[in-house]
Amino acid sequence: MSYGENSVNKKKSRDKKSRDGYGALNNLLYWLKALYRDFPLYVWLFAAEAVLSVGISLLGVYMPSALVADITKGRGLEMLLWDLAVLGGGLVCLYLMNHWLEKTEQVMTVEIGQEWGLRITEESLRADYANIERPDFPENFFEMEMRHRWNWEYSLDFMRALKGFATAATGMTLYVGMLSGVSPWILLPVIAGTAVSYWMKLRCNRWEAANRHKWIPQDSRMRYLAWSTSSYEAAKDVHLYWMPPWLSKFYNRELKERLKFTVRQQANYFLDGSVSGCMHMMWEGIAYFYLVYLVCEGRMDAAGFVLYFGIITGFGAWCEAIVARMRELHRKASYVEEHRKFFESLQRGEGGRKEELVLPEGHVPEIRFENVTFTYRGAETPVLKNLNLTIRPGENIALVGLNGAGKTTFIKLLCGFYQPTRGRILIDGVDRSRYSSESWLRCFTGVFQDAGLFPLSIRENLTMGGEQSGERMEECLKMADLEEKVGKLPEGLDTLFGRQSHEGAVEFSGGELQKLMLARALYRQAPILVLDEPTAALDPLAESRLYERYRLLSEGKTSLFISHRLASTRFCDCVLLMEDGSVAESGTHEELMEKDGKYAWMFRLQSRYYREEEERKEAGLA
Amino acid sequence: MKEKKEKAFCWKTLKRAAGYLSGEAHGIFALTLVTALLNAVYPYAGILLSAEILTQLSSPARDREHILFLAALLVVINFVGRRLLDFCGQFLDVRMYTVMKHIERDVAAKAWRMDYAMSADPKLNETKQRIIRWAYDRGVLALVWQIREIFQACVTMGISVALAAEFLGALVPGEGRAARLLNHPGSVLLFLGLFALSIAYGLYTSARTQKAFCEADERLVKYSNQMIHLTDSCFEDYQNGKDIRLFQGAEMILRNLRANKEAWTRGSQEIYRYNRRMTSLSLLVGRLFHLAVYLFVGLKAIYGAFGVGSILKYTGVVTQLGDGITQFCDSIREFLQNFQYVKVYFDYLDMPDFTAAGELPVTEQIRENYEFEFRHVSYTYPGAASPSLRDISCRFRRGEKIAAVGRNGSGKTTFIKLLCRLCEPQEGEILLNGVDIRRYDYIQYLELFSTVFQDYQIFAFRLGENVAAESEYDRERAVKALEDAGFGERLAAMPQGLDTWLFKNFSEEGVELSGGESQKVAIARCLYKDAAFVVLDEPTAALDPVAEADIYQRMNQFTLDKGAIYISHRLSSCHFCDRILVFEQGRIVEQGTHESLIAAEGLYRRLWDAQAKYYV
Repeated sequence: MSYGENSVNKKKSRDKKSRDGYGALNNLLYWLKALYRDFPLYVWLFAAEAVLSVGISLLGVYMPSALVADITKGRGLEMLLWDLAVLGGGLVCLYLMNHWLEKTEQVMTVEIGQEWGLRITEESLRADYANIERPDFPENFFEMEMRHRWNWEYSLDFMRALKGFATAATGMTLYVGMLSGVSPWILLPVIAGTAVSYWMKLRCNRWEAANRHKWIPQDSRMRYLAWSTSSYEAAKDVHLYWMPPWLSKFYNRELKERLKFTVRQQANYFLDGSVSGCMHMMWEGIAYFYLVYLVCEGRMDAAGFVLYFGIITGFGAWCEAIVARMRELHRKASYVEEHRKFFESLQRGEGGRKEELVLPEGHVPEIRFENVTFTYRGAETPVLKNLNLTIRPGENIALVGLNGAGKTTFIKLLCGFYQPTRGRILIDGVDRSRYSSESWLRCFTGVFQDAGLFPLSIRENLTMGGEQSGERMEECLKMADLEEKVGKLPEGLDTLFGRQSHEGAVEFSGGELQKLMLARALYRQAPILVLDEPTAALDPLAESRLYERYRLLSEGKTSLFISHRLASTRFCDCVLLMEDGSVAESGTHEELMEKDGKYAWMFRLQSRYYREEEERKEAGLA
Repeated sequence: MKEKKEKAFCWKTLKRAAGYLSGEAHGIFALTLVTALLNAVYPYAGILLSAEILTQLSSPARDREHILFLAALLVVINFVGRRLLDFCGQFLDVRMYTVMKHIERDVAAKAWRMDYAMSADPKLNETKQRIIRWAYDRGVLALVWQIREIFQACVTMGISVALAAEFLGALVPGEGRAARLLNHPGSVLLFLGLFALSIAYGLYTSARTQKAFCEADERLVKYSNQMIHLTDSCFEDYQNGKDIRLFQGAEMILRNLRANKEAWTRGSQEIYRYNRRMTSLSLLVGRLFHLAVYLFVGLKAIYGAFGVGSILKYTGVVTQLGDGITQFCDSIREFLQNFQYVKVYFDYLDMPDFTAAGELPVTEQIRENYEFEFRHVSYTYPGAASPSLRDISCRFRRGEKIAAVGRNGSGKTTFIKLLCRLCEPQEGEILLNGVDIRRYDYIQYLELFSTVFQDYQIFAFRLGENVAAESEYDRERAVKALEDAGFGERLAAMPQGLDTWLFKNFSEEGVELSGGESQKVAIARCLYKDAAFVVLDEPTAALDPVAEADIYQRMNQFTLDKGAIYISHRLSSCHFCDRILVFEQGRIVEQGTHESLIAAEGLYRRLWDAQAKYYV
């Protein structure tokens, strides 16, 4: 279906093609080379198939004509058997070889598609975080992956289009050569007709290109309505705010609008088909008239009629095939373009020349921010402004501030997910940009806000592929208050995680997820510990238990604790209050309370009722 | 497989499917049959006319005018036939597209209305996905083209059999050895036997390979699923990229992916190789038979059974007949197999709606003055080892503010799910003004509640639509709700105000919301609804202390003359509440005012102290 979801996706992505592309031919050659480099046999298979296809078509034209000749000229039984054996037998062989090649290509395609799917995944996993931190990245990635891995757009479809083009071009040339004895002008109407229908198709394409942006959002809105709002996660809100009537109305409205385009598109196709059909009728009619005329004049026999009519219609078919393959190749070229763009967008900025940062065992570095300013790509105002601060080795820091003060951005800069727009970050006095970001990231462990756990076993989620030590694992689970839960699981650490993916996998509540992430952070031994809201889903007792153990957890490490629960400041050496992208206040809890600034105000706001209670109690005691 | 097939097909399902389809798209079957008829008849025009032209041409007494007339007729019929076919085909496509979209909508609509507890089943999601993915190929919509193919095959076979009979009946004149041999019934039988054999073999291989593909699919799906799920977990939310990089998990993930890829590829290649072998053989048999047809037709022509033009006609007819029979058998098989998919769809649609039960209206009086009562309520999640709620009894009414506190997993959220009729208690009952809540009209009952759940969802619609859960709404009220939720400043900064798209799904200018901001939108939605009873489950977890204090202040105002339940791990919020329920392992272990519970020195006191000690 030309307007099914898939083709809509394709069209959508074609839209994204930017103006400064590589050019279609360059793209096609680039990808052909890439395929040939890894799978030369694959390319040769298609080359062989192209030759066979031309052969099949030639024999297919000759055979009926030869039979007609045998019979009309009364050549007798022997000749008929001979022709059948040679031509027919040859045709059977060609068909068989062709089929075998096609199926072998499929077998190889399975491998190639998977291989490229994996390569894309690998590149994306290894790319700099800043390169994939875009809202449209997941969509782009999944589209590329789908095309490579499951739809075979870059392997089977690509090669088929190329092969089809090569076959049609060869076939066309050969057929012109076979027209000996008949005026080659007879092919002129065929070519003219094809040109007209090509022009009609271009018209259709132009209309689609001009209007596509109107229906693509409708398609994705319908898909979103059908999927995202009907998930289990959404069900509670959909019920409680009783959205079904509205959502249905919404969907129907979108569909109604969408259908207008569908009908218009079909009308275009029909018009195109009618004009092309007219052209086809024209040249077919001319061919008949001409050949009938020749036969009636006695300049041609019946066998010749069959042969030449076969050649002319065959020529017409090649013409149409060339037009169709050309359009296909154009599309494939734009796919290749997207593929190249995608890989370029993942390209790592630093290259391999950077130094590896190697810290001596047990050494905790000092980190200094010097006039660091950071602005998001495309944003106007910086999120962090002239940030100056020093984190001394082994210090426990509490980072607090209002929503949007820049805390999370600060963490990302610290970990090296982002590079400062201006200013420097010094590690033990050395500019961090000298080191590769991977080696710097090795100094960190922690918990980020969103649960990044994977549908693998609990053990794998804990170790993340690192070394395995049963003892430490248990210790970490214990520290995270999770040993009881894991102990109760029938398969213990080998229980699969992620109920949506594995039947019979365990489900963790929000609090337990947070504990699991904490355990993972503890399992990894690194000098700097970053905890971003690690207690948001924990109950007071669990929270308090974490606080009590905090000194132990962060022993010998620099630690950063970000939380809206200001209680976290009580067991940290230093409190940093961020406001509008810079450090507004810093010092110990006591110092800041004494200072009576913003921090003190915030702390009092949150602790008001606890203190009131305490005062009441004291008053009661007194 | 066979058993399944037989069980799946039944006339009732077929009748229902037919009713469903013609209900969704009027006249779809008439259109289907016309398309099939045209499709079947159309090729014969070409076969017969071109044969006639050739016969005329090769005969010595040819009439040029007549031949040209035939050629013109052929060309025009080709054109008109094609146009008609395209028209019907395209029209049918549009109808099918519409039905496909309706199916997509109905699948979603079912999920929107479905019993909440049922929608938790991960298998359900799979079913939904499968139904949508089938699209044209399987399921109820596939019946349209299956019926078309069956009908088309029948027409083709009918015409071809008539013509083939003519061919077989054409006798070679004379009494020669060749004539006797060719006219002998044995040779006709031999021909028919070969014909039957080649078709039977083709059908056999296609059934075998199809079965092999199905089995391989079942065998391999676990590998592809693991790949898909693992890849999804890495990239669906790009935020997870931070964890992958921090913990250097790429190696482990790739190892897992590679292992699954290898297994999947190996299995798939094996089945494709098998397919290659089987189809090559059947192709060989089919092609050889084709040669035999040429031989037989050629022999008859040489010995004068018919003119040379008929060679093309009869070879064409035999091919058509073979194709027709193959198509008929294949589509009948698919048609029968398809019923299991049709059944999946109807079974899905037949799942119970929660809304179906209960008819009592929730009147204005009830809204004005209500009292909820839990009576010995217990609830166990499907598949869970132990109950989440055990023997809960409590009551609360309008004007009361209740806090539910307790440890992680103690049953607080389950408690409110039961109250909101998202789950039904297995034991005990919940009463509204003395009547079991199940007896009330579901939609009206839900209108009693304004909620912010812990895992609230904000959709990628316009801001205002999210707040109002409607496309036509009171804009002033929506602005007010957003301002009261502390979103006012952000709203003012949005150039398109309430019409701003949230998230980038549908609009480049869409706005991404931070955790705190989307929580505020969820609160605004709750305020906009302005229902009689307010349920807040951790509504401020992502908010900073200032915003939190602000929200609680406003919420207190908002719920002044309503009833409310608060769930929060920040116990200071209990301060506002008239009564606190303390949950532990599915039971209410304490209840009372803050003061009395502090004095009681129980679990609440422990929770409170654990938190308070850091603030004093």
